[in-house]
Amino acid sequence: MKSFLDNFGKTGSLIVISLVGSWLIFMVIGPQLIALDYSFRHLLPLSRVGGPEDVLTWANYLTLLTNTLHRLIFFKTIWSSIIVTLLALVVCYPISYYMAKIAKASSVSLMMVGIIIPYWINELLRIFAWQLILSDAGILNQILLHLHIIADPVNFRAGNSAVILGMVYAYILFMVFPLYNAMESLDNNQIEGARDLGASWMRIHWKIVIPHSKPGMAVGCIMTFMLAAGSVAAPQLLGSPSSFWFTQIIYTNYETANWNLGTAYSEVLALLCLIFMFFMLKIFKVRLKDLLK
Amino acid sequence: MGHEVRIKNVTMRFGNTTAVSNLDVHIKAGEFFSFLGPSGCGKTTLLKLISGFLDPTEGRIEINNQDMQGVGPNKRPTAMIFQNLALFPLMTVEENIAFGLEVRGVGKIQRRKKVEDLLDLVDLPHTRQKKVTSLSGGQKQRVAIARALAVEPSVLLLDEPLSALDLKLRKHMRVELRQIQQKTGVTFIYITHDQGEALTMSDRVGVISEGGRLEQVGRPTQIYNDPQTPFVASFVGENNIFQAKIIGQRNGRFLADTPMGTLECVAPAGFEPENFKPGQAATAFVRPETIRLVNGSGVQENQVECLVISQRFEGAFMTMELETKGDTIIHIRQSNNGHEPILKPGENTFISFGADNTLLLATPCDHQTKEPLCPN
Repeated sequence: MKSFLDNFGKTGSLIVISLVGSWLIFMVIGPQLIALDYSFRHLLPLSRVGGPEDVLTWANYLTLLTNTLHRLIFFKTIWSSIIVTLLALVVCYPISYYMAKIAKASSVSLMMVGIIIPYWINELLRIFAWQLILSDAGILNQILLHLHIIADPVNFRAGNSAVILGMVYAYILFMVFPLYNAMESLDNNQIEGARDLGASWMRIHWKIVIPHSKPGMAVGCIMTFMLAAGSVAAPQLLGSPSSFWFTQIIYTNYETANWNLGTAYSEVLALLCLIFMFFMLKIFKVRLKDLLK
Repeated sequence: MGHEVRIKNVTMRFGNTTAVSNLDVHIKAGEFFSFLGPSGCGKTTLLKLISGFLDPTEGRIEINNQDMQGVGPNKRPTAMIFQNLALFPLMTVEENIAFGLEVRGVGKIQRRKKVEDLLDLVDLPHTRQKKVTSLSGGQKQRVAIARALAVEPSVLLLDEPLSALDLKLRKHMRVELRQIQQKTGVTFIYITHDQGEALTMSDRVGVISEGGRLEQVGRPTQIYNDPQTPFVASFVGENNIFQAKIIGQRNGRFLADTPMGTLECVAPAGFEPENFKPGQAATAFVRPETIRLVNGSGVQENQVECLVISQRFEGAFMTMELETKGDTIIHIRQSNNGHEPILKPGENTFISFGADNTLLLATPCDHQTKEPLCPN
């Protein structure tokens, strides 16, 4: 606190604190509280808002339990997001390990740039690119047809796979970076030491590299899961009717002016992500403090 | 028990730099062998070649008469103790030591027994359950030794493992390492830039110079008393170094002209006579502790008059800096006999050093390439 005052001076400190404070109050906490309030009220015509019918209720939250379709989509979203997270982990582990421990410094920066450049483009466009690849008349179908591997175009976007593929691609960066960071801090001598004691590569990864990278894995999994569960663009652009995502229900509710149900479902989704985070910390035996490193 | 290690004409190059050049040495079974050399001379590379993390560009390495080319570090009968020890910080002492045993499929009960035996051997009882991060430097050192010995290697490779310890602990660990080596009979190959470590612990020492050249192999006393090359003479222990020119021979000794007059010198054992012909340039070496102060009367070997420049008291001995008439600086070292020194800076005195202690090496002092060897 003292160094803060020294850095900014009294007036400066006041400005910084009031700016950050009003941002927090008006942009973060305020809207959250309003949304929370919405979620506990009935959808009423404007004339009756504030009237005797406008009481606090659990009804919106209970809809998730009573509406079978919504409930199914909710659980399907959790399940699919877990699959996205696991796939991203499986794909990113070798990439991160290669970058952190095997590749030369020059090729690491090249790979880094290669991974970051796609993120200069908006997520929407990146996912749109996958639509161009996977659609019935898309590039992939054209190639397969041309090579006579298939006779008729395949609908790659049926089911969940296209959505999951698009998401794994879209969120690779958020898994690679925490993993890379964690692995890079592992002393090479630990790996060589284990190898010298006779350990196979499998055992070295299982006993040395993975335990060391746990905090990175936890961060990567939490971020990827949250992004996947909260994604709208990927299911909207790459999905089929059978790959409906929970966020799409929320979106539809906002669109049809049922903000009360929309906010209630949003709160449920936020709660889910929070629970997932603590679940991950438990699984990886990482403390919240370690994540911040 | 230990195995013998034969390093046969091994050369290792990384791009344009040569880390080890044509190194050839036979390390006997059960021997404590040290490679001594300055930092960056290729010692660690050599250890990586023996342990299998690197394969030599040329030559080969045989352990127990088996060619090790292409055999990975996890398949060689060697174990390595890293400079930073490389203990696994997330594991307990027991898990660290048992790591190599677990890899080899040793059962849990036997593992526990072995861990306890090893902890006894390295004198570290009751630490089985502790996290390695909670141990002191010396204790970590012992765990690293136990972990390496657990896999019953026939050759133990040590990469300056004592360098992180303080002086007192380091001296203690030297004695202990030596005892452990003698108890287990494992061949120890020890790498260090610290001549104290190499000379006190080893059966034999190999001195390595820049670029991984093996200069001399011998018992510690041979390395110190009979250096064969200018590098060994200047790197191991302290030496006064004089430019010299051979002028002849007398009674089996050589006479050499130096800036402070003609000196009687001896050539190293097995010298090449054609390198010691009159007129040839050479370098003379005299250890500071072999030089005596004399009163100038009587005829002494290699007697020189000098001026006392400075004296430094170091407890067990006194170091003096003297200057000869020819402007050559000479350092001498006298053991402390309990009396105040008689000489003061600015006074004249005579020094003498026996011809047997004045080593003449045929390599001339080359100001271009061997700068540190040359007197200024």
